[in-house]
Amino acid sequence: MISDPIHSNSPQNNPWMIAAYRTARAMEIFCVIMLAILLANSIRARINDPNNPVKLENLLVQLSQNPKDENLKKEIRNLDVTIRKNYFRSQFIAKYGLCLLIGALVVYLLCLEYLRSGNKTTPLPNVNIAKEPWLNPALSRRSIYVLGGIMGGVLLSLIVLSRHDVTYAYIHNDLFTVSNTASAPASPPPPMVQQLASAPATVPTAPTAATAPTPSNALANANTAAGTPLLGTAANTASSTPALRPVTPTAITPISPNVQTGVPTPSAAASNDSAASIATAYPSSWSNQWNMFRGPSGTGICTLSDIPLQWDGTQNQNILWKAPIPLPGWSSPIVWKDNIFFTGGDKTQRLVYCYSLSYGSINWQYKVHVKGCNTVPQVGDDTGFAAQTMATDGKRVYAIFPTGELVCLDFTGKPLWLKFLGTPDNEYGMAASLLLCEGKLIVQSDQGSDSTDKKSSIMAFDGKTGKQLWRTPRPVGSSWATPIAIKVNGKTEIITAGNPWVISYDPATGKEIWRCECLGGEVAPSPIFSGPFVVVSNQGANIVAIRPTGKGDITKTGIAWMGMDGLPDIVSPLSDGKRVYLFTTQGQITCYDTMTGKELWTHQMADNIKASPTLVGNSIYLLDTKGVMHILAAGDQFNETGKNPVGERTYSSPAYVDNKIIIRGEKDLFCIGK
Amino acid sequence: MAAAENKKTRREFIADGIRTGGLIIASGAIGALAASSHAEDTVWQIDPYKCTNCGLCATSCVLDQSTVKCMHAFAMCGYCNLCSGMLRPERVGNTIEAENVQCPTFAIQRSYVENPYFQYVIDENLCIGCAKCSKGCDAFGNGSLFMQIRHDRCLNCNQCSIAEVCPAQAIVRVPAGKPYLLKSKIKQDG
Repeated sequence: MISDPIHSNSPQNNPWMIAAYRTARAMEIFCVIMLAILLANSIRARINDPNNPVKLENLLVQLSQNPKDENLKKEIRNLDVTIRKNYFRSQFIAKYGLCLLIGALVVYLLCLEYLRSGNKTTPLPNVNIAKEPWLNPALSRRSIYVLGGIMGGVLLSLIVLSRHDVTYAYIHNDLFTVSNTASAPASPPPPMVQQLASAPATVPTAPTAATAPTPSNALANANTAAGTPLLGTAANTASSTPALRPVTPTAITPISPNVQTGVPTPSAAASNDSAASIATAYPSSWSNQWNMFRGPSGTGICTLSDIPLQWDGTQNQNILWKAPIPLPGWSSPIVWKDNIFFTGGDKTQRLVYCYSLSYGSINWQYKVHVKGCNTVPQVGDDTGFAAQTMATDGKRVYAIFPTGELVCLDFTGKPLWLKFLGTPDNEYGMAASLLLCEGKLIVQSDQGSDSTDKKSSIMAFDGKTGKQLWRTPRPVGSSWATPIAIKVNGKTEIITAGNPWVISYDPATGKEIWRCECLGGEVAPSPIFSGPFVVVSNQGANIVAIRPTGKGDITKTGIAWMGMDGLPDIVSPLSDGKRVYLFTTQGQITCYDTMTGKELWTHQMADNIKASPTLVGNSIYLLDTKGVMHILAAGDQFNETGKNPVGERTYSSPAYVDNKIIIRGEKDLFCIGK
Repeated sequence: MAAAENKKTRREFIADGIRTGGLIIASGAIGALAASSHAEDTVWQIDPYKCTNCGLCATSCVLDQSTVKCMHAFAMCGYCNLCSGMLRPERVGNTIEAENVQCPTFAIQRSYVENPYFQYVIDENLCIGCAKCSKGCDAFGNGSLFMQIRHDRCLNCNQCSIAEVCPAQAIVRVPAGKPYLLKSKIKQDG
């Protein structure tokens, strides 16, 4: 502490000492004020971050609905200027404020040293300590408290001032892994979230579909839903290539539902109620991987460039390697960096495989047997014992089987946790693939003949420990559609499709957000989103565009439009943001306008399709059952730009990673690339 | 007497000289060898062909304002009237107003060349490395806008904090003598 030279007796009457004392006091106050300014500036800089201008983005969405609103434009311009001014002002304050703070500290220390040098006295023994032995430890403790407080304050300041200490996106997974349901964070949208202009959607079928489930239907359903191909049915589709799609949520003019009179017609699309801003919900660290069924978004959108355009498996042209697959299965391959994962199985064994992306060799395989699983369920030939596609978050890899076995392995094949969920009661065998959402592993387990069986549920597990975080019963019978995670107006939701309900769940608690009764039959195609709508479709029902903005039962208020042509039975739909494409197993492709629901075109392919399609840039990669990849240009007309055979029958949806496509054939795994 | 004993003979003086010279030459040789075997200095840089324009560069750099800036390959640029790097795809008009422009800090500036061409220039003092422009250019243009680490700002940390989070592993070490990975025709030839 500074001794007061003015009121003491020592040589402090030296005017320089007095000046030094007063300067030190002034610097003390200055440093405290400057520190406060810097802290406030740091907090304000975060609020006015031009990288994440939430308010501005909301205004832009509003403007897209009312493009001629001049007042809104003025407001946007003013806000934009304000954000930029504040940002650069905070940069200025941070830069020069820190310099001033350091300068003041230096002056302060110099003054202290000067005062100390002029106040040297012979230290005297502290008589109080001799008299009161407890005093010394007390002083020591106080010193420790004070020092600890100062260090804590410094650390706190560093944490607050350091804007880039930890990237939200980087720790996104772990944050959610450790968070439990009770304290679900209202997480800010991670910066990496890409609002793709389009997303693939699956289609729910009409609830009135009266057709009894046939093995082929079930097979088809399983494929689409699980992302794994069923025997004889198509698998998930390919994704495609190139450049990142622009992200902005397209402005939508929601269509007025006309439920009472039946199917809303395209012309009914004109109402202007709350339009949702829908975006993908995966962290940016997944954007270069293919870690789930239909990619990180679950909707068949590939954001990479350099996806191969030409190959010929029969001539070994642009085939990097081809590796035999030991056990059958229709699950689609997933890829994380140099690891390809998929499952295979039969009545006697179920295995998880890890192949090397570079060489096509088996890195490891893990034979699954979970204690308690002693019954092998009946499954359809088209579904099999390895229909569900795996998922990985880059640290752990998860697999589920129609036997009810759920396993989590690390990247070396070592089991981290195993669970037996009970033998499923599903006529054709379970096929819904796994979903990862906010660090949780989501399992949709739809069973029984209908909702009265009360066997269906959706569950969330902690990816790290396997602990069940929540379980919500579902009012549906068996289905095979894979759920997807999307952000609706910045809030993450899990969208599920079943008969008859499309239901949205809160991933933090498992509570239902909204439901819409619009599906029927054997629901296998997965949901997608397109523009402001969640889109579902299923054979025997309709294609339905739902506004996901309400609460509770939105059947009468949330349906924007419906269509009845080209309804899929297995293959999940796809969207490029402006259009929705449906694919039937028999090879019929039907294109709808996203905003109006108007049917734009339809085309009949020569071959069957079971794999779900993928959008790469402006191209649709569509794999038929003969192993030929059709490359179509997304647009208002059918336009096939390429055909590439792999030389083997294919049902699973391929995986798309940088420069490569991984295709699971009937017997072999193919790596396409140059 | 003692001085006479300490006096070196000519033979001893030459021998000492040779020994000293040998040591100096050996030291020099070792130094030269060490210098020649020294690895070339490297710096961090973004491979523009791997970059997915995710925008993490803007928020992951240890500097308050990211060292990553947008660069423009003029040799590739189409000098478009409607630049997809400058204007948002969902814009409501083609004017350079806040509601139509991609860049959150107005770091892209354009100047008229001749009808219908415009030249686009990046003001690096304003650029925060958000990659919105390069994403737009990649998606709808020819990719002439791309992100690079500017070495007049980069601290060349031992472990680049952007590289740690880059989902495309696009941050690589490059020779300090050729610190930029420019696109296509304008590869740096020294």
